[in-house]
Amino acid sequence: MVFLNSIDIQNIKNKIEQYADNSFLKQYLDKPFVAEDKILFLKTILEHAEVDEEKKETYILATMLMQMALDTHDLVSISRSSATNNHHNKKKQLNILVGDLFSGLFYELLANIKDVQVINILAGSVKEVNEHKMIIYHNEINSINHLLDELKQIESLLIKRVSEFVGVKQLDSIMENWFLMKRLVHEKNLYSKKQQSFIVSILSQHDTEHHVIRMIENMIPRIAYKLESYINELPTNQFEGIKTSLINELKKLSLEREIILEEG
Amino acid sequence: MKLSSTYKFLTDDLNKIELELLETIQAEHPVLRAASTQLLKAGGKRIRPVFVLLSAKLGEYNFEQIKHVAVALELMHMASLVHDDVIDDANIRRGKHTVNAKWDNRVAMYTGDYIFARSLEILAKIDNPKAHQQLSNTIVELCLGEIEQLKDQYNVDQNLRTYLRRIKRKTALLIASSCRLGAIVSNLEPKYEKALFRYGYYLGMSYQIIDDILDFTASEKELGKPAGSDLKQGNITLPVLYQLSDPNFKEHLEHAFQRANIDNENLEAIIKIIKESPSIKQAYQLSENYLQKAEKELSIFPVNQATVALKDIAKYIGSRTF
Repeated sequence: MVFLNSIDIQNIKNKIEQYADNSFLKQYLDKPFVAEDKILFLKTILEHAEVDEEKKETYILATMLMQMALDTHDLVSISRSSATNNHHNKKKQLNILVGDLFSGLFYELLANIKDVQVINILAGSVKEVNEHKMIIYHNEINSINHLLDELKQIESLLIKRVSEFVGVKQLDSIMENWFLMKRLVHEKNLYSKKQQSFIVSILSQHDTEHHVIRMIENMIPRIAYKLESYINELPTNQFEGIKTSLINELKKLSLEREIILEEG
Repeated sequence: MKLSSTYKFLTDDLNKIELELLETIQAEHPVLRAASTQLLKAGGKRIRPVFVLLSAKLGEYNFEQIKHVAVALELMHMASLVHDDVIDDANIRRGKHTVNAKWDNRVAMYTGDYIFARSLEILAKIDNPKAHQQLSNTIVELCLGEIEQLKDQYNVDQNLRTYLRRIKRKTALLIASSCRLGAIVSNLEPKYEKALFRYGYYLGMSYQIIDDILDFTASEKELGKPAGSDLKQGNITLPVLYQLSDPNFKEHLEHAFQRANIDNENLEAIIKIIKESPSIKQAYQLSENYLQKAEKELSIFPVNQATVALKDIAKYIGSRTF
């Protein structure tokens, strides 16, 4: 069994970043965020899958690019640009085009290895993700659990469909909860920096912002606790690399929370 | 001559494709469904499916296979239009509200991504790697072309090569791919595939050049939008490019672009200069060169209904006044 190698993840991350490595884009856009934990999950899943070695890296790259296409499009402002703010307008336009470019690249990568099946699978998951996004966006949420389920789908569906396809589903529950937790942490951080938090604004339509934040803050450690037990339930001598990485991350997150609590 | 009269014999198949298009984008979420169908219901020439069908008619025409390609290509084109309207803050397309105008940018982004995903699911029914390689490469080039266009906004120092590469990417390649995909799926030999690709490419180049000319010469009523829209957005097209060889005009344009949002008075003056200059005729000449090349590519095919239609389409494009 090949254990995770942090250099490999960096190598994949570098390849992905190169796609947006353009001096014009850099004038207006931040470096694209490449979620290393998503690469970690994909790599682990594929290392345990019966898939041709030469296809594995392409599957990771293609899935990440498609995910990033969707994430980049989420950065597009909801309302029209101001006619006078040219920089803001250019940023919006480029986020759209870069997202479209990433989706084109995902398709091209898989087309070049002649894997129409995975094109179909990822396309299907993109279709589903957008359906879920519309539910949240139109606030058609009837409970907190419903919201959490929708967020789980949005955050992990692409990788889940890959894990289904290759038949390595042992990490699915961990993955769903991991990315849900990360999303909630992200939304909480946005709010605390006085930036727009989409989830906080949706939930605040039914409750006060203060209460919503407290709710999110309480959910995070509960999900983290659930994650720890799921991780510990993984078979011994399997998935050791990702187990170690995730437990370390959880400890770091827990420490950060304690510091925040101490600082009041 | 109406464009659709050139391929009247395809009416039944095009009607079936129209139904398939509608069926394909019936999303579960009601707003996603309504937004996806918004652009479809506004109509359109469906020229890319036409090219797919006509090219396929030159080989083994299996409609049940060909329709997947035709539908997928039109959906991809639609997805790009939905996103383009967000890029341009456009309110109206084909006389109807754009998705971003009727709902908002977020819904438009989700809708474009949804339609794109559906187009890939449809195309995945064609288990032909060459088809996917052709189309995926085209999509990447298209996006790069759009990014380059943004980069070159208000740039009076760009050259003809830059312009030609841009219109190749943003227009000609998808038309070329439409032709080539029809050929691939109907099992035409590579030499015929390539000829059709080149036909589509030359035709697409001519089409875009004429589009760019008409932006200066046609009326607002004919265009469905104010004249000079390209220039207003800082996009330098062929007629302007030719006129930039005049240093006085170049200086005038540089000055007009200084505020990065050219005012109406300046715009009208520039349109007048372009219309009265030899640039329009020069641009038409280049377009005609491309059209002749397009027609030449058809000479290796036997004369039949499809090749006559392809030739007629080329003639129609050359004679467009709006």
